[in-house]
Formats: sequence, C-alpha cells, structure tokens
Amino acid sequence: MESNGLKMGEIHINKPQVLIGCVALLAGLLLYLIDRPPDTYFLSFVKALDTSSYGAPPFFRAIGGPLPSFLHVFAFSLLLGGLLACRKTGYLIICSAWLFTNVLFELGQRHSISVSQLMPEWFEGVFILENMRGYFLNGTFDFFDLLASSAGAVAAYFILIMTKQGRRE
Amino acid sequence: MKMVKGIVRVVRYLGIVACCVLGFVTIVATGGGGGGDGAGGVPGLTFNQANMVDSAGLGAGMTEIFPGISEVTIAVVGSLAEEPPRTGDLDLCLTGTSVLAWVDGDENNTLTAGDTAILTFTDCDLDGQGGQLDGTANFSFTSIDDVNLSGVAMVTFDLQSQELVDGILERENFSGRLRLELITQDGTNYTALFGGADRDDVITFSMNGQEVAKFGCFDVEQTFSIDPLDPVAPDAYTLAPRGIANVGGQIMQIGSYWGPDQPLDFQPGFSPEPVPVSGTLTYLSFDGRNSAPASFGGLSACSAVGSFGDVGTDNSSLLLTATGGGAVRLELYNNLDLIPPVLATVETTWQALMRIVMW
Repeated sequence: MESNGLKMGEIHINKPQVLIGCVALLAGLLLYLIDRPPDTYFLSFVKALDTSSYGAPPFFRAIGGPLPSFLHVFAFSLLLGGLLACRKTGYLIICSAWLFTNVLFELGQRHSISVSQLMPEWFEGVFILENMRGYFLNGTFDFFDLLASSAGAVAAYFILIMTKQGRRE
Repeated sequence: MKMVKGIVRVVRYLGIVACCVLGFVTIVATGGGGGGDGAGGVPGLTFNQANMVDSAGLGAGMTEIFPGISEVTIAVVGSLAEEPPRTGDLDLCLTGTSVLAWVDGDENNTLTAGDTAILTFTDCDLDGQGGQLDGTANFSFTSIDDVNLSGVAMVTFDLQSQELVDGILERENFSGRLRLELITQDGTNYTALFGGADRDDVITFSMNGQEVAKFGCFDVEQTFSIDPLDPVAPDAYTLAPRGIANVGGQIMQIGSYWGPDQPLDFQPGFSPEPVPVSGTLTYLSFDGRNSAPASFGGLSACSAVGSFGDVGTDNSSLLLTATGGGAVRLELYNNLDLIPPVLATVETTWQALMRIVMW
C-alpha cells in the first residue's frame, strides 16, 4: 500500500489530493459565509436574510470576487483527481473539464437572456435547478473569473502531478 | 476480502458521482465562484416594504441616463454636420475635455450613414458640480439627416464618474449599448426613441464597483427641445424642461431642469403640450414571463421594461405610478403581473425619489 494512499487491489484513492481538495472547498465555503450577501441561493438556507448587514473585512472584499472561481476549479479538480487517482493525461482531462464547465457557465452570464431562455419551465420549483435562470440573469460576466478559473485549473494540475502516486504509472 | 473490496469500489464510484454533482450544484447555488463585482448567481435584492422607496429611487434614477445620451448625441451630430465637420474637443465640459474622433466611412468628408464616431471624456465636469466623467461613447450611424440633426445611431458607452459626496468618493459606472432614433421636423423640437439593439442589450449601473441596477429590454420615448444654452458657448445645448418618458409602453413625464442647483425632476403637467398627467413605470424581473409591452417607433417589443440586476427570485415587483403634481405612488406586489393584493403602498414624490440617487 502507498504511504499516503488508500489502496485495496484495484481500488486506489489519493488521500492527500482529496484532503487538499476538501480544504480548498472549505475555504470557498468560508469565503461565501464571510463575504457574500446572505441571500445568495445556498446561503439563504444557512444564514438569516439580512441584505444590509453583510460587511466583510476589506481583505475578503478584495479577494472575494474571483477567488471562489479559482477555488471551485482547484478544489473539484483535486477531489475528482484524488478519487480517480489516474495518470497525468487523466489529470489534464479532469482539470480541463472543470475549467470548461466553469467557463461555460461564466459565458452563459455574458449572454444571459438567450441562455436563460433555454432553461425549461420544469426547472422552476426544483431544488438548485430553480436557481439556474437567476444564475444567468442576475450573475455578471467577469473576465477575471475566467482568469481565476484558468489559474485554478493550472494550479490543480500541478498539485495533482506533485502528489501523484506511482501505482498506475 | 472480496466483499470489502466491492464496498470500497462502490463508495469510490459514489464519491466520484457525488463530486461531479456537488461541483455542478456549487456553481449554480453560489455562482460557482461569483462574478467578480457582479457576484454571479446572487439573487440579491428582493423588493420589500423596507427597501421599496430606495429601490424606486434607484429605478427612477436610471432614466436620467437617457436625456444625457440624447444631448451628447445631438452635440456629436451637430459638430459633424458642420462644414467642415468639427472634431477634437467639443467643449461640452466646464473643465476637462470631450474629444470627438470621426471615422468617415465613405471618405466623402460629410457625416453619412456608415460613419462612426468616438467621444472620449477625460476628467470632464459637465455641470459644474465637481463630478468627473471619464470614458467613451461610440456612435455608429445607420441613417443621418445632417440638416435637421436627426437619424439613427447605435450608441455603445462605458462611462465612469466620480464625485465627492459628504467627503466620500463615490464612483459610478454606466455602460451598455442602445439604439437611438432622433426625430425632428424643425431641428429644435425632438423625439428620441431609445431601445435595445437586441434582446441582450442591457444598460448597467454600478456604484463603487458593485453592480446595483440594470436597465434592459427597454423602449423609452423622450421629447425635448434644444436651444443654445449660453451665447458665449453656442455649441452647448440644453434640454428644455419638459419631456415624456415611455417606459415599456407606459407613459411618465420628465421635467428636466438644467443647472448646478436644479436637479432633474419628474413632474407631471409641466409640458405645454397636452400630455397625460399620470402613468406607470414598472420594474419587473428579467424572467421573460411578462407579456411583451407594446413597441413603438419601429423598435422591437421586449419582454420586460427594466430590472434591478439582482431582483430576488420571489417574483416581487414594484409599481411606480405618477399621480399628478409631482407625486408618485409606490406599490409592492408579490407577483410579476401586478395582481392584488398590494402588500405595501407608499405615497411620495419624484423629487424625493430622485434625491435617493443623484448621479
């Protein structure tokens, strides 16, 4: 068995990668709890609605814009990479896939009305999916989010390579 | 051992699936990383009794951009219609510069359809109130009458202003694209028809880097006169103190006072023409579920008349009704179709609303 990995025959999970992914995910969650207004869709379930009182420290306000984009791609690339524990090519595909997904959603905010019209009516009232239309209509396309997502993918790829365990090589 | 291996394998596969699902969910539920200043995916403001007056003020204030664009467009057309066309600083600013550059598309040295122009503001104080305007307005002329200074232009603008308010520097940004049709019979009295060039065109307003409102999918009609403001500066124009705004097929009046101590005011009954003395201005969300308001002036119908960028997902809406004498009634609904019951009513004035947001 690898020193840091969980291995049972064909089953292999890269624990350090999963752990780093979880930490990044937690950081993203904390950032939202501290920095974002409480009426953000998922925060509306965990924070009392008070749109006037979300006042994050200046540091969080400064980084609170594009950082979640970075963390999202970074965290989920590491999580999936850790669970799949694949080769370099696999890691590249994973990071690229998350980057592609984030870029796609961000571009959807650039063409918000057209994209929102693609949302089927039955999304309304369905948990999470009901926010899809609002995501595109109320969100704002931000070039820095694209940059941050790209940086997240690159960073995740390097971390995945650095923490790769040699079983499948 | 084989069974344990199987369980671990199942757990691993479930983890992979859960990871993918969670990744998708976090994008949609949180904005997947926000939208920079726009905080992507944030439902944000929901109209309620506590914020309805401020929201109405913000919404009413959005219409102030239209007279300004008319004025600047006429100044641009007027300058380019001169013989020879005048470019360079148009002297629209009391301090700072407003520099016009012109691309004569057909190289006939006359302003004609197909030409484009860029007006660049640098540290421009338009009204002597100390605010500084920077940014550009791009004009693409699709038809032009250089005698009466009328025509159709696509106007793309990105303007930033900054002003000290009570010792605090406030930065504001207007950006967007619209189609402007200027109609006049005599070169003095104008009708301006504003509309989005397509359904995606939205004018956004940000304050201190935070997007606070959008004005989109709109048809606005404004009537006004131009007169030389000051014989010392004959190239300057002003808006006559009257106007009608047609927002989404609903009529409201704008009385536009010009001058350092005369802020824009909304006031019915000011115009000498027989015009409606009341009307409605509705702010609905951009969900496309509203019936298309009547279009006019050949502009395409839109599904909504204007929106705050972060209207909540609870379908709350706010109706502004001019009730005469400068008064306005605000009504809060829990639906987009303005179906009673009215959850809250506030009687106020346009002037009071406009004081909420002064830009």
